[in-house]
Amino acid sequence: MEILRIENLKKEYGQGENAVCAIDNINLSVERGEFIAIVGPSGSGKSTLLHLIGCVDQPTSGQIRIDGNDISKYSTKEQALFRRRKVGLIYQFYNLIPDLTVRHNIELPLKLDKRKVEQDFFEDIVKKLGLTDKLDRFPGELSGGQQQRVAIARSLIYRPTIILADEPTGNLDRKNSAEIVEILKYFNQQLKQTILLITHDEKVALQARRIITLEDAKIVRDEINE
Amino acid sequence: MNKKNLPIFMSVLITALFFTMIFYFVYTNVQDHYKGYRLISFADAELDVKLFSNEIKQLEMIKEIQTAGGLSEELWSARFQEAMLAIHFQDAGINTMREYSNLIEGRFAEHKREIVISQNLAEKYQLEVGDKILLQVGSRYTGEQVLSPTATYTDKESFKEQENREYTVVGIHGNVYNKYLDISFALTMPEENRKLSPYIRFKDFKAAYQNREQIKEEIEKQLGRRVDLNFSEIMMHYYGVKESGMKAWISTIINIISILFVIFLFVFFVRNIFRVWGLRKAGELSMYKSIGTTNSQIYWLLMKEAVLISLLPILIGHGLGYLLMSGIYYQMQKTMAVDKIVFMEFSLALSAVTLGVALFIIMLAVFAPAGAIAKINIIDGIRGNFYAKSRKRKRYKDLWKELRNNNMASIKSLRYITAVGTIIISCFLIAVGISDYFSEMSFLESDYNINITYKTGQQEVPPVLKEISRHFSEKKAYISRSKYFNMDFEWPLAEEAMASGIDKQLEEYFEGEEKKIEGMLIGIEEEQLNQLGGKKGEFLLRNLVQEDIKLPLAKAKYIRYLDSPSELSIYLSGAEPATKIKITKEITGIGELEEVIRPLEIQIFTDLDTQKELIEGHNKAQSARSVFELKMKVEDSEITDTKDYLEKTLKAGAAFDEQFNLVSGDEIAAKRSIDVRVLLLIIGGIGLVILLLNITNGYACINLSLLSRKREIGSLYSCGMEKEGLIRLYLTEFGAEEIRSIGITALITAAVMLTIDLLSSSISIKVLLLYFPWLFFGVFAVLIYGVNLLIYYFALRNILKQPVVELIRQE
Ligand SMILES: Nc1ncnc2c1ncn2[C@@H]1O[C@H](COP(=O)(O)OP(=O)(O)OP(=O)(O)O)[C@@H](O)[C@H]1O
Ligand SMILES: [Mg+2]
Repeated sequence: MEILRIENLKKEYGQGENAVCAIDNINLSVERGEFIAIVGPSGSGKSTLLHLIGCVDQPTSGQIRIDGNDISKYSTKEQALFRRRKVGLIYQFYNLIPDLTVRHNIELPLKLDKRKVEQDFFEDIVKKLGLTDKLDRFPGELSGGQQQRVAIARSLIYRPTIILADEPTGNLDRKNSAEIVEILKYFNQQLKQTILLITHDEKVALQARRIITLEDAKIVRDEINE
Repeated sequence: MNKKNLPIFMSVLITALFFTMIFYFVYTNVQDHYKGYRLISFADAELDVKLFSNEIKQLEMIKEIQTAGGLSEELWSARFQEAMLAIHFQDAGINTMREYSNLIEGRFAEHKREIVISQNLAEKYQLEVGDKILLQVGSRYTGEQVLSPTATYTDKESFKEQENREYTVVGIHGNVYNKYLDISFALTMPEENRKLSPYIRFKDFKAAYQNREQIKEEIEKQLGRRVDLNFSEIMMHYYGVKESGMKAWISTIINIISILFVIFLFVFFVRNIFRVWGLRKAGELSMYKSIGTTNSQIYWLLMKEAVLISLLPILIGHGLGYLLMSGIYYQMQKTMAVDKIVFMEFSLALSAVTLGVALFIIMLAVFAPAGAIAKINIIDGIRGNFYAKSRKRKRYKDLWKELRNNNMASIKSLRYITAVGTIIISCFLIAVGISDYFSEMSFLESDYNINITYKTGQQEVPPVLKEISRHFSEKKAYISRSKYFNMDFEWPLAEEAMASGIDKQLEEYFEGEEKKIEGMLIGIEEEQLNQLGGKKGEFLLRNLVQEDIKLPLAKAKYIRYLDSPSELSIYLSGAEPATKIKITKEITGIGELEEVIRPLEIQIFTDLDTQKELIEGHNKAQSARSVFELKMKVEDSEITDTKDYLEKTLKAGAAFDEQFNLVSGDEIAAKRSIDVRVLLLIIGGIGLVILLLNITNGYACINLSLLSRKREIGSLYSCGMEKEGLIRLYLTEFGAEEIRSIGITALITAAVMLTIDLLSSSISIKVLLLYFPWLFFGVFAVLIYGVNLLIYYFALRNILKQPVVELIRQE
């Protein structure tokens, strides 16, 4: 079943002479439950693509359909609900609220929907990410890798259909990054969550079933990794 | 100018403007204060002898004496056409001493044939400086009796001319005499052969006062005779020579503390603006640091730049402040209708001090933020990770509470700054309330709109008043004479009075002095007495007392005062012997009459004849002067005509030793409103300064706070919070913060009021609340807090306009 379909997607930054084309006419189709790695040189438009799918940035033209709905036509309210319930975004730079403890940072998406936290699931995630004894700390008191893991936990808590991860292992050592990929794979298999993961690390990329390569704002390769 | 520096520009400008205005205000006030004293007492001391002008001049050889001069107490009468003049004499020494005088134009006379005339004469005959006038100098007579040159000028007198003298007008002086006396003031140089009363101005008053014995001896040696050197009581009061050194010290200390307080306040007000400015530079500065710039170099770099960008606004602010203050000074003189409007003096020293203070404030304000910014960690600086770095955070069970409380720190300073600004205004408004209260304390809206007071040596009702009251017989009008008396406490207080604590109020009022009951014996015409239910020769007691004497007359409630007194022994004019009075009856209302019962006083009404007998009986030896009053009510449209008629009639009817004064209701109202206007002008100015500072500071604080929350906003947004929801959340939070600030303001204002209540015996909290200008305060509070809310709203909107990714990424 197709969950994501991208047609003629284009994103330009700036105007006139200074215009930069970050995404240039991309077409893409993703099935439910796929685990995709996105690779490519720096500045090729990987993050931009993820932000567009995650609905935190608006395309210049083209369509992004998720479950058949064109998200670029969403009202701001629908966009907000989409971000809250459908996608979990993990940024290249960790994006936590400095004034909230780790626990509250993780719970945030649920609390925005006034939903109760499923304790078992919460503890499961936290344990898998090795954050159990860090729950009462503030982000400023954690290392970069730990903060990244908190961001991952937050993206998982709502059980979104799509997880968009922008170099989640960029700040981690080999052992830790392997662990993270394992966790993502686990959720991919258990909950049938679709995962799009950006990485510069070949080892990480090779864990994915499908590898998409971006270059100069275009998809230059799209292959199944056996 | 960089647009980003606008808040700095504004707040520095306002700071400089404010201090310029305050300093110049104080400076001109101190000068005016001194001028005021010098207007009444131009000399520091006088000698009790009469000397020739050249003898007086020689006193200046004594080293402590700066100027010595003389004036003559013997005046001349002179006629100029229809007008009667009283000519005064002062010599060159006095001319110099009277640097502050009511001279409107020109100068004092420096020769015998020069003269200064008063404004009314100049206006009446269109005389100007430089004109020559011919005066008939002589004496005024009624029958054989020579009149004093300052006696009221009437057409019943005659004038015997002794000589004609021609004078050149060299100056115009403000009017000196009550216009109904109908004489004009004139001033010239005395002839050499006249003996004058000597006056002295010292080089240093305080030192001269200390060495007064020695100076006196030197003067005696110089003159070769014994003299008394009498220091001016007024100047002694001005210089506070009788006060202990302690008191002077305390007032100096209080002055210094208040200046420091205001400086501190401004530092407080502008500090945040420099902090935001500095933090914006933190990224760049960290780059410097990463290539080897030291913390102290960064610190000085910031300091230097802050001072540099402040220079222009300081100068502009100073210039504007000076212009504004001179405008206000001009306006104030105009409202107070002074004879001669003077421009505010410019003082180079004062301006230098003002600029110095403004710079000092800027440096203090940059001090802490620059230090903190210089110490920002390089990595944090480059990453833009410093806004919320060093705050202490607390954990809460509730997510939203945790978010709210941990963020409070970033905006807390605004809470206090706005509160401080509002408290300053509320303190000023308390002062307005108090002054309003005092001006209303003894003021009662009157149904009569013309009031004539008539001073005479006769005990009979002046015929002219009778004539006027006959002339206006169809109008509401009555004649009365009030005579002060007091009496011992022979009669107990009435039950109601006791219940209302009048005994305690009396105790407090007399503060340890012997308690007396004071009152007015009011004579009215028989007709009015009959209306009150009395007959000729009877005494009616208006036995009422104000329940709470701290309330102003207009709001007073009256209760019964004494317990049925039947006979009273009163001391007329407060002096022995006692006069016995049998009270015929007690009354409360007095119908159409209007006699204000002053706090703790009683009133006894009788007819004018009986009153006259009592006064004469009490005061056989001297002929006491009486003040009669005629109150009238005429149509508002007729006031001016009536006044003209009354002026003419009164003038024609008044004898030389009688004076009268005529006031209409609108004049009283005009006088009352001037004071309030001047005060409101000042508060309005200060309010504006506070409002503007609050805006620039609010702008800085709010931006600082929101910048530090950018990442949070981005997170909330990307986790699926809507913009509207975000705005609502943040505005509610800020609103709660403002309510807290209002709470602080209310608490402190209440505390100030309570303190005043405790410290002052005459002002109660009730009065303070009643007279507090709530409307003004409300408008100000709504304005200041409303502006904050608006700034917050727009700053937030501005941030949310950016793409979400930018928010999360953080510059
Ligand atoms: N806000 C922006 N304004 C202008 N240009 C931008 C903006 N954001 C990204 N770009 C440009 O768009 C292009 C794609 O950027 P993007 O962040 O998607 O690259 P990336 O593939 O994620 O690179 P990296 O591997 O370094 O993270 C780049 O050339 C970048 O300079
Ligand atoms: Mg990227």
